[in-house]
Amino acid sequence: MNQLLQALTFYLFAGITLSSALMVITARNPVHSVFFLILSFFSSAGLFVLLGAEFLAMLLVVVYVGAVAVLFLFVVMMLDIPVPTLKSWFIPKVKEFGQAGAILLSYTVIFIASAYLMMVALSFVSLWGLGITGIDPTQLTTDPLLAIREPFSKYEAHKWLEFVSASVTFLVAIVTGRLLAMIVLKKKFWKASSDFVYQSPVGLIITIMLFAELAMVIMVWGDTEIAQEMTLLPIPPTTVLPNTHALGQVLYTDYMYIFQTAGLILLVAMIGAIVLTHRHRTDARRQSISSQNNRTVDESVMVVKVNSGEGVAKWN
Amino acid sequence: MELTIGLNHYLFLSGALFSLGLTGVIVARKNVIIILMSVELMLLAVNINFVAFSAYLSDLVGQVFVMFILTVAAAEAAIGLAILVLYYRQRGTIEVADISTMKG
Repeated sequence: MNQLLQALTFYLFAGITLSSALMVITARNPVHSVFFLILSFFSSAGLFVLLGAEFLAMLLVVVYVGAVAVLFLFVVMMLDIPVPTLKSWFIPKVKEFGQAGAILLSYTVIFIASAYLMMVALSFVSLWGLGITGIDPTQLTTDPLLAIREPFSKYEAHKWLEFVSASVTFLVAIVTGRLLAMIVLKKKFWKASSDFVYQSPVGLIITIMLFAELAMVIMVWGDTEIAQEMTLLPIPPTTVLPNTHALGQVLYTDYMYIFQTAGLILLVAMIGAIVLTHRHRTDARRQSISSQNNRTVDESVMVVKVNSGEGVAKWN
Repeated sequence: MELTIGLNHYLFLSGALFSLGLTGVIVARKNVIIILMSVELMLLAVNINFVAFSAYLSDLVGQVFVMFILTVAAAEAAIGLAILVLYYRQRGTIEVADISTMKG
């Protein structure tokens, strides 16, 4: 029951975090983006609590939601960014998404095709290589290419070849995809890159590949044997020492210098932000304390002799 | 759906969040604020990773590190927004495509 509750809480918070992160980057109105960012931070704070990091959860809510996100909100509202109406936003968007989808599709097709061709070529090359060296294929793993493989000694020979061929395939796919984008957009080769239609498929491909790589790493990773010995600061059981207390104990002792440096960074950032945005107004009359203090009697008071019936003569 | 929530669940979550942030940085063309917010999302993903490993290895150092990441992220947001305000005053726009005077 407890486990079920934990799982439900995790999926709830993770789902809210991810979907609101998606809304941050897709919302039309930047104010909505900021609100979704706040929601994302809140649900991550929930996840932090689930992981037993209560102090960080509080910090996330206080610092991020209370300060950073509100700063974002101030700036968004201050800058008065025009929000596109649904009509002016939607109709060009459909066309652009169509073009972007076409580019994405052609990218995928080209990528698969060139990967397939490269595999075929690779198998021919390896057959030919086996033919001229006369090596028994079953003995291939006992290295005929030791000298070449020296830097890649962790990999087998065919892995190295696969690496090269994957790079070539990727290069071919990128160049061809770019040529295609040029044709779709009817622009010069290098001009095409600043367009949304060109950018979004590339962004999506990079994102998908990054996530795939991360997923592959997450699938196969494992602890080393010395992982437990490498622990620097074992977390004490919460019945002995609460999370906040434990963090405070190390923060003000072991990490004192780094803590002070963090404070210094914040000070520099604060001064920087003030210097950057502060406007010196010339029309306002300000108090100048130093010139007030430097006044002397001689330069500020003058005794003028006034003759009766003549008034004050020109005295300056 | 697995019922035992392990480290890998958190790693997948933070990987997905990081990828979303990267998409935001690359694809956003309307205004720079969205890019700054996407960077915040990426830092949040890194923080989740740190805290998850901290809980898994029961080592407090990960949580200490997250505090410093939060500090730097706050400083970065403040400076970035200040530059943005300055730019808006100069040009009256913050669209990404318009910020090309430096040939970037």
